[in-house]
Amino acid sequence: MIDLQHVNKSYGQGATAFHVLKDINLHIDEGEFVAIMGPSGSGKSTLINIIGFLDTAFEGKYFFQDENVADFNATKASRMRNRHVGFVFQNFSLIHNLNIFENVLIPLSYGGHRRSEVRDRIAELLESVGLAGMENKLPRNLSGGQQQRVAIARALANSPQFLIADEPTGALDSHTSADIMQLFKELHRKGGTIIMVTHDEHVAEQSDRIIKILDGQIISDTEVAHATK
Amino acid sequence: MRLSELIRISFRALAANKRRSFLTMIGIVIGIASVVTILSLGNGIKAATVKNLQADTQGQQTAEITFNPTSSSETDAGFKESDIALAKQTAPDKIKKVVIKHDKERLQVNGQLANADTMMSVTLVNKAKPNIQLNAGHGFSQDSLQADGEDAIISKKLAKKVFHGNAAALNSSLELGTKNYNIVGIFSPPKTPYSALDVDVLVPEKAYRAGQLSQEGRKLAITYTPGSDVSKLTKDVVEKLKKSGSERRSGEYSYFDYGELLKGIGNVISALTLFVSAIAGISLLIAGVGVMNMMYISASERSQEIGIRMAVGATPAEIMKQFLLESVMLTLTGGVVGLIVGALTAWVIAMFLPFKPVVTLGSVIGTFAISSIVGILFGLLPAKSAANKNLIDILKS
Ligand SMILES: Nc1ncnc2c1ncn2[C@@H]1O[C@H](COP(=O)(O)OP(=O)(O)O)[C@@H](O)[C@H]1O
Ligand SMILES: [Mg+2]
Repeated sequence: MIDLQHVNKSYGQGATAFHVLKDINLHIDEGEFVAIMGPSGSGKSTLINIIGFLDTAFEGKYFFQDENVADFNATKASRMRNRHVGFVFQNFSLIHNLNIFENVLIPLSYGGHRRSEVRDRIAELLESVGLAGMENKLPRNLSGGQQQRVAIARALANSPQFLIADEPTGALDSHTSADIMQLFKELHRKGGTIIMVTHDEHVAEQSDRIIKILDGQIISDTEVAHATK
Repeated sequence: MRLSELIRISFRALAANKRRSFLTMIGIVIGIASVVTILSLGNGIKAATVKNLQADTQGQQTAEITFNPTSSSETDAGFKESDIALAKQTAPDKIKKVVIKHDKERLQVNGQLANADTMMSVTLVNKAKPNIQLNAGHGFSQDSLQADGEDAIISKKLAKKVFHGNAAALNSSLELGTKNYNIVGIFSPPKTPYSALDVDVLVPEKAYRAGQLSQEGRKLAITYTPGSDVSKLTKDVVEKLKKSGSERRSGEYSYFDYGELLKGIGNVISALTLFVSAIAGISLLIAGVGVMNMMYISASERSQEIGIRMAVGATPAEIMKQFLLESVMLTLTGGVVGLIVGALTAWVIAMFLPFKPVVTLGSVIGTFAISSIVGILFGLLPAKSAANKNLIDILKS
């Protein structure tokens, strides 16, 4: 489904250009649960932003379902993100003056849905992340873990093809982060594709495949041997 | 995104910062209110002026064509019955009535006084006691008001010039047309400028008419069916008269275009009103800059929100629409409030003035249009800057 071929990414131009990703070749199939690991500044976020169509200014080819992402303009990229990608960021990324219902509504309304026709859908999404009936609460009245659950519900709203998560547990304590990982595993068990950046070994080990990055290059790509599998 | 949802989130964003939105809106309210106040007062003045200037009290559309003889020997020439028919022919379905009007005031007449030809200004009267100051003799008797009356009153000035005194003038004879009059009184013309009584001679109308050989009048009054283009139709009649009017060789036909005059006065008032409104409109520009400033601040404060929206699927055009809608909602609300405030202000001011303010449909539509335009114009650049934000940069921070 996701196929990166000789992807290079530089920031800046000419002599001051900073080469962040170097000749990345990566293939991810539907239903995979991938963890991307590496030290800070190694290019994990840059890579995952490219995978999630947030950044289309790169060299090389990225085929998503036989379309070359490098050819997307801003509008096309937005439409593709809306339909096919779910995002979970480290800093929860909720809009503070909107309530929980309206935060989850955002991707649905950009997808052309009316508020009234997605009430049940949103209730169902909130229930699946353990926040049933919280529609009318404001983000500031929720704990960090709860806010991240709202972000996950929002990411899943349009039933995306894959989910990308940039350090989703980075700002959470270990107990809460275990809860979030539980949610991800549940999603994966139901067939969801998840690509997650983390620098926490324990978190990464709950995935099926760990890709390690150093200085913009993939240095290892290994299957995780699960005791329970 | 659907428009209803877009309107909803734009309203939310404005409501999230009530004080700022309110203060920005005040500028628009003041701008629109002052323009509306001036426009409604100006329209009120225009309506009142035009109405006062329209002579016909029944709202009839009328016009008068005047005949001016070119030589003094033709002073009797004027309009005849044949000219009435001629005028009617021009537009039989539009012309309701044509009548010859006889001049009654300040006629220039060649008459005989003390056996000498004299040019005199004459006004015809129908009252025994016209509103004049008598210096000698008496006013008209009731009998003299009839066709066979023979009384005339002359001015002190004429008496002095011709008879060297009031006493000599009294009971002297005066000949106008085919008729002899007896001077029964001497009067001082009123001091009012352009008064109809500021003439050399006053004689009763019926008596004077009886003494005229021809019944030609100097004026032709035309009444049109309502809604006709008076200016154009009258011009046509004048053309026709010039070509085949009964006295076309002995004088000029002319027509004073009241419609043009009214239009001209109306135009001057409208132009003045617009000019003053334009000056008031400058405050609208300043308010617009306020809107622009607010939207720029809002766009930079909400870059996180913009980033989130774009990440989950908002296109740059949708972000731009949202911000544009916010500024238009702000200015449009300000415009509506301004319209109400302005109309009320004009109404209160007009209570101390002799006319009513007029809020036209045009000013209502104009208010909506102008406030939307201000919103779009001054919201465009901030909205563009919001839409062109770099997504990666936003998400990194
Ligand atoms: N917009 C940018 N402009 C310039 N340099 C950038 C930009 N974004 C990231 N970088 C640089 O690229 C490198 C990789 O960044 P990033 O992908 O965020 O790393 P990671 O997520 O692994 O910590 C870093 O050295 C960072 O400073
Ligand atoms: Mg990172």
